[in-house]
Amino acid sequence: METDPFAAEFYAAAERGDLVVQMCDSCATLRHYPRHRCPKCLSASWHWTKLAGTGYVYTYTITHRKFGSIPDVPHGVMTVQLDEGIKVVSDIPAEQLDSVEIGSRCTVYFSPLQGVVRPRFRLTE
Amino acid sequence: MVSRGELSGRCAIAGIGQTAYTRGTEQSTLELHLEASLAAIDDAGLTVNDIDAVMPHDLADRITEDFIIELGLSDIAFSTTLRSGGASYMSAVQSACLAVATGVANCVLVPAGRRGYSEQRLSTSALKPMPTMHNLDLYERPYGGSVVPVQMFSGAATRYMHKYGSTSEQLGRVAVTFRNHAQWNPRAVMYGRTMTMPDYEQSPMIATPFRLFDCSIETDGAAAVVVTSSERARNLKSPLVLIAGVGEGHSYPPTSLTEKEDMTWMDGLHRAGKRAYEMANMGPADIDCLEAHDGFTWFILAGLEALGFCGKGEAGPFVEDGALDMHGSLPTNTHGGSLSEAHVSGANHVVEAVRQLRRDVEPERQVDCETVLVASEGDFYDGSVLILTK
Repeated sequence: METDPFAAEFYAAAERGDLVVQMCDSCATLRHYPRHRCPKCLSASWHWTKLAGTGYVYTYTITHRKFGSIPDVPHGVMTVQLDEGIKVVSDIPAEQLDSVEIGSRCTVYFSPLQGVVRPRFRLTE
Repeated sequence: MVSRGELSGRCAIAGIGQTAYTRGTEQSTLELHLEASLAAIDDAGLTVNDIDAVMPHDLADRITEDFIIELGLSDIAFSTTLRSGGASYMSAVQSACLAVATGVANCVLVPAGRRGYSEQRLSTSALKPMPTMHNLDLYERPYGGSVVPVQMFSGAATRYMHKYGSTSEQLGRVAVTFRNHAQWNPRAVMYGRTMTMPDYEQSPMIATPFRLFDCSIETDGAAAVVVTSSERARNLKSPLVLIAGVGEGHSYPPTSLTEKEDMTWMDGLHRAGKRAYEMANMGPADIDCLEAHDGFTWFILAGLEALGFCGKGEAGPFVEDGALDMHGSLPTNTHGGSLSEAHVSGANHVVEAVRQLRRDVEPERQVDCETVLVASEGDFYDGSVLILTK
């Protein structure tokens, strides 16, 4: 499991069914991937905040070779632009590979990958 | 106080060296580096006793002490390793210029290369773990994304193509053009292996939109240059090749594509280009020939825009019109590039630029050039740029 403390808390929240990112206590700026300091005001003070878990497909790629941890091919990976402005990466459900497009709406669900519950996204019809 | 512009023309590339580029080698990464280094030192008409600085390359995992012990470099005055992935090589040339221009060092050896076929294949996970990939390990690779470079940039290319209406033919044109150039380059791994557009379109899809022929080749080999002052280089054996401009630029944020505001714009490379142009007191219109990092065909489209050769979103049509061909408006990767000559962490692009200016390449691919720009991209849109003149 991750020894990175930010990642441990991020995935612990996923275990509870929450998609969280850091919010600055001083200026309320959201940020992801996690860092110590606010990118806007450099404050060291922050808290985890829950996101709605909805967004759209910013981009995606369909992989046809079983590199590293890829379980099966073809394998889809997408970058989701969440409604709050943050981008995250997710696998694409196998049955949705043919319908994914930039701009498709998607929603979070929580499910294990490589032994850890993670936020994952599916296209919403 | 020395200003950036005053560095222009103060340094030269006095020597170049290359190993053969192969698929399969008995030599270790270090042995390849040593061979290329000795060739560069000899090409400069110097000896190992003249070398007083060395810049080992980050991705090759070599250290200064390797070169000190093996080449007998008894009095190194300056050494540093840059860590910006593929952009490291020309950032190292910049550091070499700083050392030479200030008199901190006199003859700087800058080697690079890898066993990219026999060991560290970019198409596998057998890459050196890099601290910059930390967030990918935590938040992308568990999903089967960004496992290897082709997947990291395929998403960026997809976004770019969606945004600007680019076509696969435009990517293919880059691949075919550089493969054509390699047919005049006996040193190229793809020498003798032609590629037509149908060949490109039928090559297997790896990660959309990148097919096999969109990806740089996995090869073994190393190359090196020696940087000295212009005064010193004038008295050495090869035609003078001056460093008119050099620049380094870093992307923000640098640790993933996901975090970037705009995944389609190579901001670090753009900044590197601006700095190099400023030092050289030049612009894109002054460039006769381009040797640009082509880890993937799409890097050339994004690179042309970042370097100001065309506007945002215009690189596809620019390429389609034949600009990059040997007789086009901007001959590019005249050696075949990383797509068709070899992947040597960008060092072979610098060597090719020097050979072009020396008029030392096969006649079919000789450009009548006065000024050559070399560009490298590394990590996530960091960049380094070199402008060389006769």
